[in-house]
Amino acid sequence: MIFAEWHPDDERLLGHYADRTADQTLDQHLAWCRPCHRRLSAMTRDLEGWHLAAAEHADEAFDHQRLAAQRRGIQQRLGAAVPGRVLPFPVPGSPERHAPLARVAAAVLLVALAGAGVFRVLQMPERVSSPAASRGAPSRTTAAVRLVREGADAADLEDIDLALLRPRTAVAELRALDEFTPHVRDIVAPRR
Amino acid sequence: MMARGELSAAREAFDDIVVRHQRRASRIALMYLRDAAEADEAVQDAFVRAFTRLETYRDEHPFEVWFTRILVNACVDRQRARQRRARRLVALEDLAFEPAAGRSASPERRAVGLAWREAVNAAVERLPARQREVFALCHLGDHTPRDVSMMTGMRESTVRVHLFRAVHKLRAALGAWRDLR
Ligand SMILES: [Zn+2]
Repeated sequence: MIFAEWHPDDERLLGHYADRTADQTLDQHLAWCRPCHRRLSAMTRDLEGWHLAAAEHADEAFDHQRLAAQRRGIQQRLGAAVPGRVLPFPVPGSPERHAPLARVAAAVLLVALAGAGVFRVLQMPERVSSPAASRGAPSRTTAAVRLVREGADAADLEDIDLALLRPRTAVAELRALDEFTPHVRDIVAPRR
Repeated sequence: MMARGELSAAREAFDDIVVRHQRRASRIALMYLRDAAEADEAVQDAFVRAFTRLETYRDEHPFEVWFTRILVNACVDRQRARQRRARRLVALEDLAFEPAAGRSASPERRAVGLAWREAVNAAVERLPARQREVFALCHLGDHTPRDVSMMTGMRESTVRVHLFRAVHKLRAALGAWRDLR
């Protein structure tokens, strides 16, 4: 009896590369089929080469000076578009390749209570290595409360603090906090 | 109103996020718009929009996916504005990249490297818009087809088809370079 020999097509190989997840059938096949292994290697080499070429090209156009100028431009424009209320969340933000979704980076929480004269900026630590690490180190987050002006309610802050400890803070909780604190929407004036 | 010091503290805090994401955002925007000045503006648009809309962020997607969607929209807006301008102008702007010189490396290697980069960028530029968009997000932005589907609203299967076609075309266009590099 003759079995038709199966080999993955290029689309399957590309999917394997692009998804960055295990494909057991494919992995098993690649473990013994040298031609397919070579095909995947060649495709990966091409893709990585293009990535490098395009990234180098872009990074030369956007060198440090230009990126710094870009940040200054953003800062200036933010000055013209002041949100009364900005509620961000813990964000995965590491630019590391192949793990874009797995990391938790610093988040900013701005609570502007303009009418009450209360304004706080809470910031997660500069480097949060992992969700587990941040869960295990509540004091770091507490310590990261950078600016708390007079009038801040300690219990309220603790709630926010606790909410920030989890990598995926429950929306409901943040909404509750959102309801609890006044909004200042009228001063938003996006520049165009 | 907020005091000046408070506002600057808020902006300073947001700057950390900008620092973390701006390089990748700039790469994507450049591949999208093929013009550094336009890409720069689009990235700034995106960060300003993100800052003013942070409260609309929901945690079902990672921040980066949410932000990249804003960036894609900013690029599309810039592209449309540019098309409107172009229609008004007699001559189109020259959108070609100025090849920038490499830094250290031998003159031969530098020349090959520059030519290779030019070839890659030219091949990417020749891709149809959708394929270029998907390629930029998946490959240069390091996002999975699933993420790109969330960013663009395209079906995941459509993203995969565009990506596959883009890669297929690029391999065909750049195949001759394999032995030269
Ligand atoms: Zn095989």
